[in-house]
Amino acid sequence: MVRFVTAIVGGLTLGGIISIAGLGLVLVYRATHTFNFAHGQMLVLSAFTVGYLQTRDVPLAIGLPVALALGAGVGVAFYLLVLRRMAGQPLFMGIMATLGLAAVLEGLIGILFRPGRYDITVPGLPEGSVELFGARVSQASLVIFALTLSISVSVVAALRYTHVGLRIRAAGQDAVLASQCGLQVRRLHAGSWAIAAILAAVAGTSYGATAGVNKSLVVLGLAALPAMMLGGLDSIGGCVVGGFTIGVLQQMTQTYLGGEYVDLVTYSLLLAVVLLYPQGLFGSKNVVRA
Amino acid sequence: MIITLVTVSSQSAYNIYIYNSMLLACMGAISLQVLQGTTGLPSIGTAAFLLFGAFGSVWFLRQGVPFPLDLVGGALFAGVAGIIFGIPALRLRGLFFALSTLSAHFIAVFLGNFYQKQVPEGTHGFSIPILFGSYDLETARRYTAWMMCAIVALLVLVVSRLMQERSGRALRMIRDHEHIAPTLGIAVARYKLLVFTLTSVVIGLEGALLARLNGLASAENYTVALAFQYIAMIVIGGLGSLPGAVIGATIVVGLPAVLPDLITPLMGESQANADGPNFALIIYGLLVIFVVSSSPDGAIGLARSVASRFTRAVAAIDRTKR
Repeated sequence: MVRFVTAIVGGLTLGGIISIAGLGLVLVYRATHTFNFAHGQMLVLSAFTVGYLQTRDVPLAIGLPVALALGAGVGVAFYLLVLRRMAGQPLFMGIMATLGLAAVLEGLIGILFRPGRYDITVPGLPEGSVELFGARVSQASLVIFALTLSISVSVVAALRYTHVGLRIRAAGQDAVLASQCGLQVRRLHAGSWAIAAILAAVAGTSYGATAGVNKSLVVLGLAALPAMMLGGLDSIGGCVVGGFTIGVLQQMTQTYLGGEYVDLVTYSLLLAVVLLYPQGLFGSKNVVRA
Repeated sequence: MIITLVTVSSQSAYNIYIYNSMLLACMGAISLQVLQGTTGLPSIGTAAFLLFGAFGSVWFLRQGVPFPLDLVGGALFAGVAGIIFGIPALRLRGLFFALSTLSAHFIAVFLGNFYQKQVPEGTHGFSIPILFGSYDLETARRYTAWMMCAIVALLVLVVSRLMQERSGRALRMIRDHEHIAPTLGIAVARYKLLVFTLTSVVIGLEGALLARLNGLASAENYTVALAFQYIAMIVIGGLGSLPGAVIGATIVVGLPAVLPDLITPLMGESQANADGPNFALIIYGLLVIFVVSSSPDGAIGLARSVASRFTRAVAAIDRTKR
């Protein structure tokens, strides 16, 4: 029972982080129909920035916005300089471009951030643990879980119920039609990329607050892929569901089967979804025509 | 045109090692080119099949199979894996196909790790006698280079013949207009499976050879980043082009080797060595981005447009002379 509870709580915390990362991926996919394989690197870049600034005694209140701005800058720059030029090209050229971006970011991270490992401390995050159904759970994880859950839900809500959100979704769904309605599609797409990068930064920093960040964190960006496919490639709400599911699944696997099975289980699930149910739980059917 | 690479000069052992790595990478790049550039099936699973080939040959070695046959065994093992992963993937296109190869990657790495744990001496990777190990290092590498050259030349010949014949046209039709290919009598599923399997065999062979070049086969070396490197190779060289694959392989393998020497004057030797690979990453990442956004035919496309401009200039000069 104890292990079960620990696994669930850990899984939900991880799941919150994955779903935030995944939201960014879904936004980007809807906007420019590219799978951002550089998401993991964006995550690490922002998290490392925060960590690095903290070692220079820059408080989180300043460090975090800096990292967010940096991430957003990279995302928008990438969109403006690269993706806009590739309008007519086949789908996987965009993917290749993101792979190139991933390589560039990876190289930059290696050069700029020498130690390769940072711990992020969020002031105000409670230390110590609390008893839950007989298991000791760290309070910090619970807070992070609550935080990430609320962020995910509010992003989904904002996209669904605000004017801006509506425009972003419209531009993402059908660019030509949206432009005919007077929407500034290019700006909205750039905005989608900026938001995605910011979400990646939030995800990375949250993870760093619980467990520290090192370069291998890019796998978090990759783990958002199965989450996204499970929830549905173009479904924003579905992605949150998918994220939490994958998070819990990963923690359960880690606890009951052992760490080396985590990737296997996660990506076998991805394979199964891709083969049997490509539109995911909440995605729309025409997504499969990729 | 490419067999002019048969210049195994009297370079130092280290440089020959780089050259061998390039030749090996050519094998993988050419295979991926056929799979992705010509048939349009994007694959992130290259590292997976390298692993299958390497570990397959290890398994055969441990059963006592003698030298060249274990390479064959490893390659065939990779081919079987190709069939296993290929059959369900037949109905998938583009992104979904790529995702299934990504899953294949992780499954392969898991199996590799699993096997390593089973075998007591393999926990940190299997060490394998280097090719021609009984000779001294330099001679061994020279012989390896000749052997690799022969293999790559053979591969290039076979593939270029295929690409010009009916099969090549069929594959390109599958890439560009899969829906109407069947009306032209092309058995799409069979071609796809065949291509996937054969390229897996070649990549597996490369994996087995790579393990013998480096003397080590360890599951942790087969990363997604490695698979991306091969994709970078064919993109930079030019998608759909055979010489492009070779050029791309040369660039991507050569950069990390050459770069530390180039930047040493700027930042001192130890720094350059530490940062060299990262700078190489940045450079070929930028190259990929540049190629994809501005010059989709890659290095070959660039060369072709220069060549055509040259011939047009010559023709114009000719006309003015008359």
